[in-house]
Amino acid sequence: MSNTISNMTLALGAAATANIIPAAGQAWEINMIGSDQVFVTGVPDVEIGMKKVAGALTAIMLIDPTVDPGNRNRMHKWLVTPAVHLTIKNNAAAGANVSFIGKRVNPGNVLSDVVALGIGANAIINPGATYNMAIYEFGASLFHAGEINPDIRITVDDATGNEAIIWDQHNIWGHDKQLNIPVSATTRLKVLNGNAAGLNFAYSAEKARNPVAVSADLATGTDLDVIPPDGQEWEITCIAVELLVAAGIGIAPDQKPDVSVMLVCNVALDLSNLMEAGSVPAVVESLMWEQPIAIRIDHTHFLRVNNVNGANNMVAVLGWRVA
Amino acid sequence: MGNVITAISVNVGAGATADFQPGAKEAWEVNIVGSNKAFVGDVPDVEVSLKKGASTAIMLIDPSTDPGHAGRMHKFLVNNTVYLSVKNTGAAGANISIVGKQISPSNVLSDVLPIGAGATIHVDPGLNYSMIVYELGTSAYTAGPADVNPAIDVFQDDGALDTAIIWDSTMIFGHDKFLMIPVTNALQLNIKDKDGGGLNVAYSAEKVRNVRFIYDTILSGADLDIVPPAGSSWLITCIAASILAGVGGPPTRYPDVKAMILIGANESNLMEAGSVSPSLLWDSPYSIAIDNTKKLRIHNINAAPIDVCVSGFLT
Repeated sequence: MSNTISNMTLALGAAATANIIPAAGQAWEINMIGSDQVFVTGVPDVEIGMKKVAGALTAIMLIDPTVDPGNRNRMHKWLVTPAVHLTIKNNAAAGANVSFIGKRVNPGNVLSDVVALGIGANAIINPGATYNMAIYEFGASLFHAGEINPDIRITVDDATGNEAIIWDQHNIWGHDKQLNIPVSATTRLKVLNGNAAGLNFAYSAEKARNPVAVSADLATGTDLDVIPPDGQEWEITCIAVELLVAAGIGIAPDQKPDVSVMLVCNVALDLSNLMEAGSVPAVVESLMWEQPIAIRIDHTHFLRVNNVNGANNMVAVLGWRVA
Repeated sequence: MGNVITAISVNVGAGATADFQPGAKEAWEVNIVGSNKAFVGDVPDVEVSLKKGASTAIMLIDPSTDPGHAGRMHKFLVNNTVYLSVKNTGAAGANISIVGKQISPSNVLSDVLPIGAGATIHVDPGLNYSMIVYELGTSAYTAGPADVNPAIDVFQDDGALDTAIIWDSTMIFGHDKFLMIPVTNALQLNIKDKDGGGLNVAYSAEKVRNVRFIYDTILSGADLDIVPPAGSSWLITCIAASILAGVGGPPTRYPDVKAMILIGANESNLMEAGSVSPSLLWDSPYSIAIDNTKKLRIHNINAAPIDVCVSGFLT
């Protein structure tokens, strides 16, 4: 049997919504969306949501492109089940054939969810002690009005009270790239409602093995060395930082993590920068902050994160043990 | 032994070059290059090349000239004979680093090849295996300022048709994204020197199985349907067309075809044609899953016939 689940909803009316629901016992990974109506700003004129059947909770994963084309210039990884499925709203002025491209995945692995957040409230994403998870996409039912982002702030919560930012709704950083966030019972995510009203947020996630995490609240000028134990290899996929800064600009939405990410090698502990800090004047922004990363390190070739900011700066470095 | 090949070459002088060369029976996949000196154009101030003997080709040009795609992860596959060379383009000595892992040396097919002035070479993996090309570079680049690109045009060639464009040296299209170009003895790459003086071309590639492709001429207003046999699923990673068009002039022109999902007689657009509203996805990696009933349709909206090659892999 083919694993391809690509399909289409015909003549979906203007402003109408199609539910994309796997059959009972199935789960799907959806990568692309299409429409036969005129594209807007280079992307299909649709709005993508996630819907949790229980409670009828919905959140927008790709907002109407007339509002913001956002992160649609890439493939996606929306993992859905009959309980948490995708929705496609036709934003065009006429009926549209809306389509999706994807494949079947193991339904036992999908952990996607839609969660309600009250005004000023936060939620902890914690897969529990039985398994760990990888999160690939986030969305929310309400978007921030300035820089158009889901109106939530996402931080890594290591239970120390210090929080390193993955998403800040005021800043561009991290919002358009494919995420790969390891989450476990000891390295959880905190999602804070940034809107004046209650909202829902959604995430696309699956079970994953062997997450690793190192975090610390760094004093000015100090380092966090991310050193796998002897014999282990890690792939770092997420670097979260408390303080976001932009040189010469200083304000949102162009702020980036105010740390330098360096490789450390050799007996002499030689350094070479991979990602530069947001406040470094010659840089303004290291392009790699906006890209998916997979930095392979081991016990003798490791990562160093240096706090260049004048204040203490919480840093969390997350990844996967790969050997 | 660890798989991590991450390394630093210490205090490489201004304008000097550090070679990162696997051992005799090793191969590496290099994903990131770093420097401890001030970044330029928001990326490390280095120029990255592939080197084979005395032949070199630039994969990431000096960022003062063009930061290009230096801001993404890469897949430079290197071995003892075709390896990475990193030039410190900063004004002072720099610690130059690479991040990556060891891979099977028997799979790496990366190469550096000369092309004569105005000439065309054919990249052909032969009959024993197929290949996938991830990165391309050259020793000479176009002058810009509209767009600084490797000074080559790259086409797909199935022996009958050879005009479907992967890269046009005057256009942005496809130059900054991670490539996934299937190449076989029956579907070769033609690479043409556009510098005029001859140059070296380099590609990062490895062996791969089960390449599938359909290459045909589509008349104006007509369709090419990509239909895997019953029971087969394909993942489409490369769509090339012989005509690039745009609402404006170069360098913002894209394939003047639209790619649609086709189920029964019903269509839905995945990628819009260059002359309509060029889809952002033309400049991103994609992998479109299709089968015998969920097909891909390529529609020519141009007034002239277009040669289109759709290629990917049996999954």
